[in-house]
Amino acid sequence: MIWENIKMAFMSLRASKLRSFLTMLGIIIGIAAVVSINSVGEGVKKQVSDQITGLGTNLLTVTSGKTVSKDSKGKTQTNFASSAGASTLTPKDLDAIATVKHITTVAPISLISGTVSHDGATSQSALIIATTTQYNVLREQKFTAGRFFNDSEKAGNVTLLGADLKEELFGSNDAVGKTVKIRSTDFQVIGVIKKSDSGGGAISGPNFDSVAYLPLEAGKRLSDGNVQILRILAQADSSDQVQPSVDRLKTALLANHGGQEDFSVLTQADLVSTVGGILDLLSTFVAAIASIALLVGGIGIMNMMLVTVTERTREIGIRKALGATRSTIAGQFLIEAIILSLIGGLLGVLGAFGMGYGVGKLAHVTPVFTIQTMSVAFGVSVLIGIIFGLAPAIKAARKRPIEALRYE
Amino acid sequence: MNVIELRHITKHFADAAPGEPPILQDINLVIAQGEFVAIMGPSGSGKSTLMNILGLLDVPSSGEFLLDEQLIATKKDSDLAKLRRDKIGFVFQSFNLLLRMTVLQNVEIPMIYTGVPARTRHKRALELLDLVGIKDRAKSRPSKISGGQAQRAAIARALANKPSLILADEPTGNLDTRSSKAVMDLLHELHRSGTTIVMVTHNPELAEQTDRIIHVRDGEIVESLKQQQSIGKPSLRIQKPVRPALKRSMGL
Repeated sequence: MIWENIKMAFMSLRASKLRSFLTMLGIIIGIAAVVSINSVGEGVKKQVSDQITGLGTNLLTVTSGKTVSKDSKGKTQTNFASSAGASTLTPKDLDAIATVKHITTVAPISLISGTVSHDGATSQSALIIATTTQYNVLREQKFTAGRFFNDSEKAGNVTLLGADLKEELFGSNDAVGKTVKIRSTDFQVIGVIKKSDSGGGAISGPNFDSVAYLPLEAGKRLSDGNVQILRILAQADSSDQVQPSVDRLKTALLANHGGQEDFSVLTQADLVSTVGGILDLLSTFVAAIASIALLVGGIGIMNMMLVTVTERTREIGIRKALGATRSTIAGQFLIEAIILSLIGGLLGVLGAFGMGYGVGKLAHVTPVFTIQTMSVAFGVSVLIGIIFGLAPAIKAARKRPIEALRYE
Repeated sequence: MNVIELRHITKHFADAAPGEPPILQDINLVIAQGEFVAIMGPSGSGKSTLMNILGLLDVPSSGEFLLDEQLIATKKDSDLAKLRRDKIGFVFQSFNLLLRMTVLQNVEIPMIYTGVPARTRHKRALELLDLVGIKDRAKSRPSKISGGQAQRAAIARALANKPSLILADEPTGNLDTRSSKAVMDLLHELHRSGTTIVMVTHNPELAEQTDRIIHVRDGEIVESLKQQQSIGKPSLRIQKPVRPALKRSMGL
C-alpha cells in the first residue's frame, strides 16, 4: 500500500510540476544552505586540523598571551585580544623549555616584517619567519631542492623558500644558489620546500608554502637586534608525554615570567578544538537562520497540500466509494507531502554540492560532505513533510463521501 | 438470500428545519440475490439518497439496513469503507474515473485497497477490460476514450472485487444510443450470470428490461412492480448465453 501511495504521489506531483517545484523551493534553499555551510565548515576544520597536525608530531605550541583557557566545565574559552601587542616570549624562555624533561627539540618562530624580491619581482604574500636549525627537526619538511640551514649557517644570510614563493619569484627556474632581497639585504637561497598537502587559505591561516625561512640571528640583524618571538614550538619524546609536558612547560615558563601566566601552552589537539569550536558556533548560527527557510518551506508545502486536497475532493470521494478508509486517504496525502519535501531535500543536497564546491573554490577550501550531515538533511526533510502534511491529510480523510462525490 | 433488506428507513437532512418532511420516509425494501431492479422517480424524490444509503455512502437517520444479511447501522466508518470495497460496485452517470491514471490503473484501485498483489491485480484488471471489450484501451487516459468506453471501464472497475451488489446511478445518462446499448447489454449479461444490480434510470424503456421497477416519490416507495417474463420487448429478452469468462471473473 505504501508503495502504491508513493507511485500515486509521484503521479500527482508530475501532474503539477511547476507548482510542486515552487513549493519545494523553500526546502531546497533551506537544506542547500545548511548542508553547504556545514560542508565548507567541515572542510575548513579538516584543513586546519591537517595543517596543525602537519606541523609535526607530538608538538606543543607556546604562544604569547593567555589566549585559551578552560572554564570549570572543561569548555575551551578563547581570548585572542590577549595575544595582540608585543610578545611576552623571550629567548630566555627558549632555553628554559629546552631543559624541561621529555622535551627533545625546541624552536622559535619569529615574524620579520618585510618583503621578498628577486630580479625586480616582489612577492605580495610572503611571510618571513626567522627560526633555528631545530625547526627543521620539528617540522619534518621535505625539500624539492637543496636543504635546511645548518649550525654553521645559523647567522648567515641564507634562506629557504616555500614552494609557492619560489614559484612566484622564480617561476620554473632553479632558485637554489640564486639570491633574493629581503629588507635590501641579499640572501642566498639554499633550499626549496615541497608544497604541503593541506595548503593554506584565506580562512585557515598562514600559508606555509609562501614562507621564507631565515636563521634567527640573521633575522635579528634585519630587525636591529630586536626580534620578537611569536611562538615557541617544542616536541615531546612520545605522544604520552604531550599532555604532561603542558604543566611542566608552564612551571618552567612561570619562573621566567615572574609568576605571571601571560602565555599559553597548547597541544595540537587544543589548537584543533579551538578552531573547531569557533567554526561550529558559526555553522550553528547559519543553520539557525537557514531553518527559517525550512519553516517557510514547510508552510509552503502545507499550503499546496491544502489546495491539492480541495482540488481533489472528487477524487477523494471516488476513492472512498471504491473502499478507501480514512487512514488510506490520510496516508496517501501524507506520503505525497513527505515525498514533496524529500525531493526538495534531495535537490537541496545536490544544490549544496554545487554551492559547497563553489564557495570552496573561492575560499580555497575543499568542502567535506559527511554521511551524518546528509542523513540529518534527509531526516529533516521527512520530518517537515510529516509535520506540515498532517493537517491537509486529516482534512482529506475527514471528507464525507457523498459531498466529495458531488464536488465539481 | 436477500442482498438488501431495508426496514423502516427514514432519512432527514442533517440541516433540516424543524417540521420539514424527511427526504426518505419509512422505506421497506427487500432485494433478493440475482435481482435486477430499476429505481425510477422524479428528481428530488429521494432516489439518490436511497442509492447513497444502499451504497453505504450515507447512513439512515433511523431504521435498519441489512446488507448480505449483516446489520449495517452498528458499523464504524472504516468498516463501512471495507464493506463498500468488498461488496459493492459503483457505476456512476459521470463515470468517475480518475483522470490522472490510465484505464488499467483505474480498474486496479479497488484491488489495491484489498491488498491484492500487483501482478495478480494487473492480470485481473486486464481480464476485466477484456470482458467489457476495451482491453486495447488499457493504457489510455480516461480523457482519451469515448463515453461508452469510459463507462465500460467503470463497470470493469466495479467488478474488480467480485461485489455482491452493483449500484448503477443512471449508467447510460451521458451516453448515446449505441453506447447505451453496449452498456446495458453488459449489465444484462452480468445479471444473467447471477449478479444483483440496482439501477437508477429515467428511461422507462431501460427500466422495463429489468426484473422489477420501484417508483419513488416524495421519499416514499409508491409502487414496486414485478415484471412478467413474457412482458417487455421480446428482442431484449433474447437470452444470449453468458460468456464463461465472465462467470469465471465473477467467481461463479
